[in-house]
Amino acid sequence: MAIVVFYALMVVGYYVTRFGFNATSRDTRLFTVLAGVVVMAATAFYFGRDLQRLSDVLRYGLSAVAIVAAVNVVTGQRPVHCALSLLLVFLAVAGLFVSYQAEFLGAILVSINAGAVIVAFLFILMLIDLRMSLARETSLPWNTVTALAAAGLAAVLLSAIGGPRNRPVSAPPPAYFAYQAYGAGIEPTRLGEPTPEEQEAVRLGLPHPLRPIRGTTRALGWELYTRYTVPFEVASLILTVAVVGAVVLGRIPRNTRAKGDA
Amino acid sequence: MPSAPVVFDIRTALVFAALMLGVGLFGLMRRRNMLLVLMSLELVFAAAAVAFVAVAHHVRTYNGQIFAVFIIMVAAAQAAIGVGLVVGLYRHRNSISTQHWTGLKG
Repeated sequence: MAIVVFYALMVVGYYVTRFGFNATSRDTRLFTVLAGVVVMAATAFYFGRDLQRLSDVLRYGLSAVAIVAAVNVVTGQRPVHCALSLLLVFLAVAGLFVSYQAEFLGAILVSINAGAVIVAFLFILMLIDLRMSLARETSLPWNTVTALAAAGLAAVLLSAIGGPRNRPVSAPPPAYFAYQAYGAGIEPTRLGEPTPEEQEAVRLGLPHPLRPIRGTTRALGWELYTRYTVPFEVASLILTVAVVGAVVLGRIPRNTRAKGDA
Repeated sequence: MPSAPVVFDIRTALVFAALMLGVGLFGLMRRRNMLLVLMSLELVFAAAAVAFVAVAHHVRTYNGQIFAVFIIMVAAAQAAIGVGLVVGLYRHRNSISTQHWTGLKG
């Protein structure tokens, strides 16, 4: 699969760059950083040269950023750097969501995960003594075993996804137009064959010429509060339990409070 | 060299999600720092959410986006509980390395 090679080359280029930044000799540093940047740029150019639509360019770029930052999260040495890499992952994934017409999800991913969750992690990292938190990581043979296990699982998933066939974009199903009209709140459920102009607009990835897209948030909220009311309420219950649980876990027990520690 | 892709189709999005899941699982198994384990878990959640949203866009329905909303909710709840656990266990053991929390091993 071409995309796997793309991500692998991007990660390799990133690693070469990072290695170069840490090199001791000045010439080595310059050469290695340059080599890494060249690898990444050449990969981006080679794999991006046939892309037609802006959304595809965005998706390739953002997914590469997400993969590289994710690799940095799991292999980085300093916990704070890992947390900031995770922030980058969330921002890139939010961009992917927006490219998939999930604007509301992108917004809540930025505000909840990239905002609150990362801040909570950073708070704890800062509160806990960093010398303590630099836990000894696993040894090299165990790392290899772990990497092989994770790669095996990813390979199983990849084989389920399928081979290297790169099918052309098929004509959108008629429901697509109902979807767009629903999102725009104009004609709730008009099903039917799209007109030639509409087909052409979809093929080019343009917004709809007749029914302007105003985002899918409205329709998503409609679904969430009508069809999925019960799961939504259960989720709010889960959040309440989480808040109460976090308070109980974080509370200092009464008998140790008098000693004044922690 | 492999042939350059033309579009970022649904298959590509699923490959991306699978790779990110693999990276997250690697971190989950490798890391000894409890907070970094939680961060790897967030990567796994994000991979699942991307797969749901991409498929929802592919089949033009909202169901996948609804699932992604719930995934983000659960991820937030998990982060709150996980951070609370880390703080509580740090008080007991003075460390956030998972190697020091083996009391339930027997």
